[in-house]
Amino acid sequence: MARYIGIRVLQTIPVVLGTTFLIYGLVFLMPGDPIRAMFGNHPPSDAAIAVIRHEFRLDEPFIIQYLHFLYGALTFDFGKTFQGREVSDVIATSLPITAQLSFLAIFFEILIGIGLGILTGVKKGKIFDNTVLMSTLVIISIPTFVLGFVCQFLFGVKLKVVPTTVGVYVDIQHMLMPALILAGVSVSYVIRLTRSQIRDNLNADYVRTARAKGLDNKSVILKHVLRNSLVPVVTYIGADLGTLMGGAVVTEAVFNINGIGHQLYSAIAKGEGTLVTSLVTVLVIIYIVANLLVDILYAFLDPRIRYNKN
Amino acid sequence: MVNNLKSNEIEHFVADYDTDNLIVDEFTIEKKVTGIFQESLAIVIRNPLFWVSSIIILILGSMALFPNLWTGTDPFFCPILDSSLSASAAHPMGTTLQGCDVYSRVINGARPSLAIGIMTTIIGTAVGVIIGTLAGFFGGILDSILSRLIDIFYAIPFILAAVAVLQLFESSESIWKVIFTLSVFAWVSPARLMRSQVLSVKQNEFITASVSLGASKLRNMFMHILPNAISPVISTATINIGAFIVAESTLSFLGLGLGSNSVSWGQDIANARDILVTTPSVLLWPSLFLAITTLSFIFLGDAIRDALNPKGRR
Repeated sequence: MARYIGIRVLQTIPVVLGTTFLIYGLVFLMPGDPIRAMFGNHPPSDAAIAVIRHEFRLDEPFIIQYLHFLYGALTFDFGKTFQGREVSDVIATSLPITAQLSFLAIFFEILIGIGLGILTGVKKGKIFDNTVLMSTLVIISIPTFVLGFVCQFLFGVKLKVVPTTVGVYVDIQHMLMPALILAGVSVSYVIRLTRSQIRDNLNADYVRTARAKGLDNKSVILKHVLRNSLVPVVTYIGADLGTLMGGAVVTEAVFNINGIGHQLYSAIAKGEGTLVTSLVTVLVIIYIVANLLVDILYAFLDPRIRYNKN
Repeated sequence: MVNNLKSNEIEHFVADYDTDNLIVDEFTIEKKVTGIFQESLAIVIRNPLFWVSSIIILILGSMALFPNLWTGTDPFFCPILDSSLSASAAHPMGTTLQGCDVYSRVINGARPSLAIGIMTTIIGTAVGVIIGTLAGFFGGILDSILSRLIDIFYAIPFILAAVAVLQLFESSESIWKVIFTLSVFAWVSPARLMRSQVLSVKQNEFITASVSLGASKLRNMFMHILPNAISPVISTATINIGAFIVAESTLSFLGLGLGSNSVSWGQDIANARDILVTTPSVLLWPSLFLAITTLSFIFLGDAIRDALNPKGRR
């Protein structure tokens, strides 16, 4: 196990290097001068611009800029934004907001996703089953922002049961609807995954054995079917954390949330290479750590899987 | 072979045999032997969902190819006096804030959406299948490199990276800009799926048999492994067409899709936000068309998967 974790951690090094290199390169290749763009229609003298460019190392070759960023990141010094704010400060204020949103979304995935998945998987009710399955497909096929608009309009503007936007009020009451919208597609996948896992396991030989032993239906489902069915579901939900945090930008735009996705989006628009790459690095590391934890969790949940070989 | 034997001076005796009476056993083929794809076709045409989704996709395809069959109104003809009208005989779905005919815009929006969804899927799947097959088939250092590459693209947040790639283009309204951007990330998931498929097909006895019969590596890869490994990739690709149509609309919503001067469902949905409170129909119609398109591709992909999956057969 320790060996497996060691190999996995080593494997993440080229991934972190690759993603940062790719993103830094992308921002470097963007057309236009970000410093000049900052001043709009009243640019200062070329000499002043050259000084600012030098300050942010924009006058140096790409590879030097990138290596400098990397060196800074290793010492947790991400540098400053064009406005002079510390990048680490931007991360410190925006990351908790998106994290709160994502964890609330994960909570909905567990509550609604696994809940409805178990109900549709165990019960044979045709109408209930079909309604839930059809709803999941509809949610998957509607873009997140449309769902966001509609819920904002229905529950925020018409019924006035929840606040329409979040803004500076980062609390459970304001985050509830955005989190539900963010979780929408994932909840649908979790329902479908849980349901199909339970259906598969209900027909498995070990369930027939358990029933033949004389175990009642409740124990069969709780002790045997659920334990085995939920292993892939738990891993899906765990791995989803990274995806949610990276994909939160749309929800953040709909509900005016000042999270990491929003910061990243505006940083891309402004061409701020260091800020973009720093934020992406944070997201990538969260994604990688979440996936690593899930893989290790897998071994504990499913005793058949052992990582000693390879 | 013969020369070899002679050079080693090994005598090899073969008994004479009667070639006229060389009947080992007599058998007749009762069942017509067909390939996996003919069998799958026979299954898929019995699935009603396949027909429903195919017909919807054909209708949408006709809108994309020949919008003039469906509407004579110019989607760019937007008299401001007709702003935010509700449905009437002249405008069956009402008008937008600018006074454009919603029906005409919805019909004309089919082309960019379908083109982006289908082209991105074709490019992404083709590249993904090639990379996944190479990684799974050859293994070793090539697999390590390609797998890390796949990991890198997986770890990057997709929508945000697409935003960054789109920034590279000077403002143009060509759909190829969006197709290229989505394709940069579209190959990753087919590649991972294909790699794991190739790895599992490679374990089969018929591959060992083929190797022992002296089939070349390339022949094995293209004739035996690829056709047996590709079916889940095809059904997933069909479902992904819908996902890319949604992705295009999301990019339009973020202000980076085809640009506000072009017709697309995503663009129209994004614009509808401002007048959602007064004229909800402007949001409803493009969203409805988009959702129906995505659903159809999901159903079609499901039908294909059920047909191609031998385990699901009764």
